[in-house]
Amino acid sequence: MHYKKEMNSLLNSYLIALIPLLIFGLYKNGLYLYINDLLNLKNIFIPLYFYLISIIVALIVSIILKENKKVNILISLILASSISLNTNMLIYPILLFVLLFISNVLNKKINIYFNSLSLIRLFLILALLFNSYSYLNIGEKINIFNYNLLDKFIGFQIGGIASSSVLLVLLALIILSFNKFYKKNIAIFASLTYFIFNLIFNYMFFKSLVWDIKGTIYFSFVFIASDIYVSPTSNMGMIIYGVLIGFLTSILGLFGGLEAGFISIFLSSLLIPLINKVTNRKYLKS
Amino acid sequence: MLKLIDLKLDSILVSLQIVSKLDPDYICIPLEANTIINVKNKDKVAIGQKLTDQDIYAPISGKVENLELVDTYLKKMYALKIRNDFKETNINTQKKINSQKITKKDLQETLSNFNFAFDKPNLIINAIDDEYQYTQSFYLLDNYENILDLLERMATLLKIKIILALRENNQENINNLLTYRGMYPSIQIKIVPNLYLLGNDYCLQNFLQIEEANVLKVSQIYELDSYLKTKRESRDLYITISGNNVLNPCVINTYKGVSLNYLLENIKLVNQESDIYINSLLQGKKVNKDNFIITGDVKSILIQKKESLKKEERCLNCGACLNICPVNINPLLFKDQKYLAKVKDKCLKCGLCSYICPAYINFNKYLEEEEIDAL
Repeated sequence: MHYKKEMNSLLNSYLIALIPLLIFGLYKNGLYLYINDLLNLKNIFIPLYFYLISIIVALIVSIILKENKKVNILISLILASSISLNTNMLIYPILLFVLLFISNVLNKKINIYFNSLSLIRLFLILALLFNSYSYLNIGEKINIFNYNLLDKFIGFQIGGIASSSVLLVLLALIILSFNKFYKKNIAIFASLTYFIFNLIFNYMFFKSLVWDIKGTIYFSFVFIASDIYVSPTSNMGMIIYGVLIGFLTSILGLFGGLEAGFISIFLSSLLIPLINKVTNRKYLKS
Repeated sequence: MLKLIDLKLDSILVSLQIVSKLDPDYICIPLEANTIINVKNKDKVAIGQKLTDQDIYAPISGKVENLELVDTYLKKMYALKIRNDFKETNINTQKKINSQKITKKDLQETLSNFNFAFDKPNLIINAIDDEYQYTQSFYLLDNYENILDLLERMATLLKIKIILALRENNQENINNLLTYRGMYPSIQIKIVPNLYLLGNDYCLQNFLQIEEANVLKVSQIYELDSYLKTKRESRDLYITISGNNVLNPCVINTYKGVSLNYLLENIKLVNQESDIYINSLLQGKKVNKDNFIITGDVKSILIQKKESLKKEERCLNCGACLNICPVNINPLLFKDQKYLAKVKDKCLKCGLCSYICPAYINFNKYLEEEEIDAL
């Protein structure tokens, strides 16, 4: 006898939560630019190319290593959503294949105690550096759209291909929270901490009370920080981990860049064994 | 406060008519190591005849056969086989005594014989069954007056308060108790919600928040009653037979020592292929029906449609197992032998960790032991 939900249900929840973001990514970085005569018809499919090539790479790695296809497809789609539209289209699949392959092999051989997804995401910057380090699409580059705060909240702002919308990331968090196994405490506490400290630090250093709504950072909290394998086990551990990620991101965010979230998640994940040890004391005493 | 959950199980309707299966061809009596056997191969024995140096009596009359290695719920054991001659020869000529004639000395001696702890001013009687078991309910339903008479006598002699706990959906017993409430003034009835694990004595006591109490199950009171009246252990027991592969779930009254194959004769199944679990899906274990002998530890038999077991996945570290554990044990540390040894006794073996695990990890395997006692 088993509880009605299991691992597959969690993977399904992740995929369902990701779909609105993927669709919005197609619209914002393709169709919307085409309607405004900024792209030709061929280029509106660039986001779709990144989604599809990621799925293909995930399938190849899964078949070679006989690993769970759904897990690898999910990981690849999360990565594809967070990368820049300017990522090199040839280097990306090669790099993704190598990184996903190594990560799967390592997971099989040894227990990895750090957030490998955030590390892969950081390595994927190499594919971006082959072009130019920029998260701007053509419309944002020539700055013809005058976005207000609400537009930015909806997703019309600098960000990964399908991770710029704070609204849709929030929707994803709600969808995921319905699943018992989703570690919502990590995402919620990381987001809240980041939001608060970001306001404080912006005021302290730049004397401005600007609400920072970088969707990619919140995306990393919801989809990557709450990694299904590497994250603390107890509720208190998840809260501490979330707060740590949020705090570190708000510090690193001061230096700019959309990678602050991924770096913070990777660094914080190194402390997971310690967090588990401290927060699981009541279980150890049993 | 313990974390108790509603498992929301599909209800299985068990016939109120108890089925008697009291004519087995043979009975196997499992024996502990170093037991001295008083009878020889081919000896004739009568009901109630002492068979070993310990208090083991023949439940049927018949002929002694060789020792056999059998499977029991706890372990593989050697068992003394008696072939039934169906003559029902009984050596016990003593008449059963009435509950009102039980003395305080008798009661105290019997309680200590049974190793029932009895040092608190309250006695909680657990008439609650977890999962698809109805055995405690049926012990009460079928022996209603005997059990309540004994409890009333115990309350008078030992000057204790008796609390009889029943689950809210146990309508038949609740109705009986409410009808005859005036006849048993010392027995207080507590009706508890339909939550998993209240059938566990520790959890029930914790739920009722009665610290100064001993807890006994109705089946134990039945044993006690039988011993006080006949001066030997009861030879029969009640077992629920249910599951999604059984057409007519029922409760069976049978002897300890009968084979599982005998019990399952005439049980109509939906599919021929089935898996058999003893004592529920969460707390019990899957067994092979051949060579399995029913002992006092067997409370229910679940016959489920054959399903391929889900493959264990890599642990997600989701923490669901340690968050659901009613006694705050961390099943993720079961691989650590030192930790396991430390918590093994504390673990209620409720199976909730395996039930909730999204990666289908079977934590029960760390707690199981297989031993073969040699005589």
